[in-house]
Amino acid sequence: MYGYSGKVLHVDLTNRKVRVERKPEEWYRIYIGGVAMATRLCWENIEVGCDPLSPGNPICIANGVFAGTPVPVGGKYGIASKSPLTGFIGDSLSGSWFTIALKRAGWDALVIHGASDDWVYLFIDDDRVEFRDASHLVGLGAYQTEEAIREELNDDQVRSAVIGPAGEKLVRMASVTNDSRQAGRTGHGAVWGSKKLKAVSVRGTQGVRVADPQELLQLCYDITQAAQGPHTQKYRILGTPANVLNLNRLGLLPTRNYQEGVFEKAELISGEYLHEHYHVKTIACAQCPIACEQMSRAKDGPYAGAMTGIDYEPLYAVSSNCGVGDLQAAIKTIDICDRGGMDAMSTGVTISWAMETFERGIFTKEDFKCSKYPDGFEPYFGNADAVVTLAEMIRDREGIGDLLAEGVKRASAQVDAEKGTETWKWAMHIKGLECPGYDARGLKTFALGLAVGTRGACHNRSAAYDPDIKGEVDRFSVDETRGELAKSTEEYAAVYDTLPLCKFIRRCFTGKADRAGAWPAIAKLINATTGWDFDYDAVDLIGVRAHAIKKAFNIREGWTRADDHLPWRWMHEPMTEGASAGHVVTEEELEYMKDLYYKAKGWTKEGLIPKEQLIELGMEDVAEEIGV
Amino acid sequence: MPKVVVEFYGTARHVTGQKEVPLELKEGSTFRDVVKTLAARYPALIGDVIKPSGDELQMPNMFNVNARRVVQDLDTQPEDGDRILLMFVTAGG
Repeated sequence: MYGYSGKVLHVDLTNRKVRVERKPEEWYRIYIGGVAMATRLCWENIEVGCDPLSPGNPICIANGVFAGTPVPVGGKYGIASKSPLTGFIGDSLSGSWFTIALKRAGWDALVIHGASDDWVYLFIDDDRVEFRDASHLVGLGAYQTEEAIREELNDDQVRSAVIGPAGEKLVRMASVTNDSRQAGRTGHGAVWGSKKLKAVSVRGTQGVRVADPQELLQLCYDITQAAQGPHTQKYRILGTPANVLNLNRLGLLPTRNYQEGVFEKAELISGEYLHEHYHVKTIACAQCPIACEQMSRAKDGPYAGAMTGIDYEPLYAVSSNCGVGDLQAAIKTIDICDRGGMDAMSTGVTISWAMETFERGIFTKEDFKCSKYPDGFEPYFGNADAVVTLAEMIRDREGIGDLLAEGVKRASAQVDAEKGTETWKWAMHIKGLECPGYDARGLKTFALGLAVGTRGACHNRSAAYDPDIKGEVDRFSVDETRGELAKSTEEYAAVYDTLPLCKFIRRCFTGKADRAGAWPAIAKLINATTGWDFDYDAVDLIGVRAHAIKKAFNIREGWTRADDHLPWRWMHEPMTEGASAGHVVTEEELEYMKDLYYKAKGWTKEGLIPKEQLIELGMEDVAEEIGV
Repeated sequence: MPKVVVEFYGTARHVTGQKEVPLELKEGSTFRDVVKTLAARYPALIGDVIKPSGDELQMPNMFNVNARRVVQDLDTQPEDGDRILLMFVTAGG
């Protein structure tokens, strides 16, 4: 095989043993890499029904088909476990050097089983695996851990995926970090922490063989040239924080825990303002010619010196959504999350829930006692230091941070059970995953895409905001097209997440981001890498299969139609200001769209997958277990 | 003569240094005429925001009228008082 080694490395932390599994080429043609392959490995290796924080939940890491090749933005990997936030599939992506090292070490994928009694890190030195003591690394931040391991192994080419203090303390929104990039959202860091696994470090010294090097180089040259043009300009100069003002103008910028979609201080947290005042430099992942990450530094005031990469989603979560119009506080909060190894989106949305709960008088100042403020503090919306402090408290599970570290679904349920309140009505999550930075009341196709999402409220797995924002449909109403649109956009995204390729490259093949513009070019890249004979239809099938295995995983873990829901607020409380004021997604609209979506997918009315569909996709064993 | 305001977002704001610009259009002007006017007034928009032909927006930029609807056909006409948002298709983050 070209492009792959054909080998999956299994590591058993409980018994400290390793084994090698060889997969047939047909398996690779179906699951390709990234999130699909990682999910498939999770399907094969999990103890069904297990607690996500128990030894029965495996960590599954799958490289991409293009990792370690010259293919632009192909240096990404997928990671999958059962999510501690949702109880369903937790699939994430991260980019840069770690995946290239793993591929060069000769492994297509890595499955980590069981749990260690003592803190450990793995050192994969090509085909040799060491279980190394990690007790001295406990408590170190994510970046510090990467650096400490490089020093310990005396090799600055060793690449590590690690957890920070949040993962060690089983914070449910903890991330896995490599090369300063995060595999975030669904709580992988907590899964690693539950296994006492601090890091996976890799030294890879082998090459990646491709089928047609000359053809691949020519294809890559053309894409790299295009990646310097207007199709990526918005990412290169302002980065994704440029979304702030766009979304604010459309009335879609989550503000004060999604109470409104317009923030009066939006200019002060905009990408433009960030660029002018706090931007330090722009950096890129390995294998990427675009470079979108806007490294920014707080230059004065109480947070001076804090520095990290700023993207739109973490930014909205810790600023407008907490009522904070202070970019330096936002940089500090995101820096705390990144170094602590936790997802800034989920952290911000959980904090905004706590702020609203305080403002409604359910929490009091007394509830916010901590070492920094022994008498407590008042986390009203706009209190920047409260956001910074709460991020630290969540990371350390200090005081009320212990409750918030459970994520907004569990935290609200616990408070409501204890106090007889209804804080769940402003707990902004879907399936337990905190919502992203687009208010779905003014994006009804996207509302459907989020509701049915296999990993919960995720803007990356469903691109259904696209037809809404482009005006291809009326974003304020529903009609019979929405089921097909939600299906089409999620399967489109799943192609990129499975190869994986960063979606920011999608216009650089022909100038058009749609399937017709991208799939033929992607097929050529696959064929030049693997020697296969993929065409438009075969590329399209990648996304269909990827989504099918994720959905199948959820069904086996107990998913029902009722799990495809929206937060109460989006269904009952219209916003009062801005271009999206006055709208909600009604129960009737949501159920109607779910019917359309399940029909478009070829599923039953209850959202289950027919056996014959899975068999057609080459998933006979899956059909046997969950097909109807 | 219809008067409109074009609001700049993202790249358009970055390269022009302007938040918005009022335009007084001739009767019967289309959104394409708005593109041409902008190209003439702000040559820095040509390339990343406006195509080199000067009469068409470069993808992924678009016109959104009053934050309510997206212009699908540049040969249609704006109305007096419209606020035309020159923005890009939001994605990622």
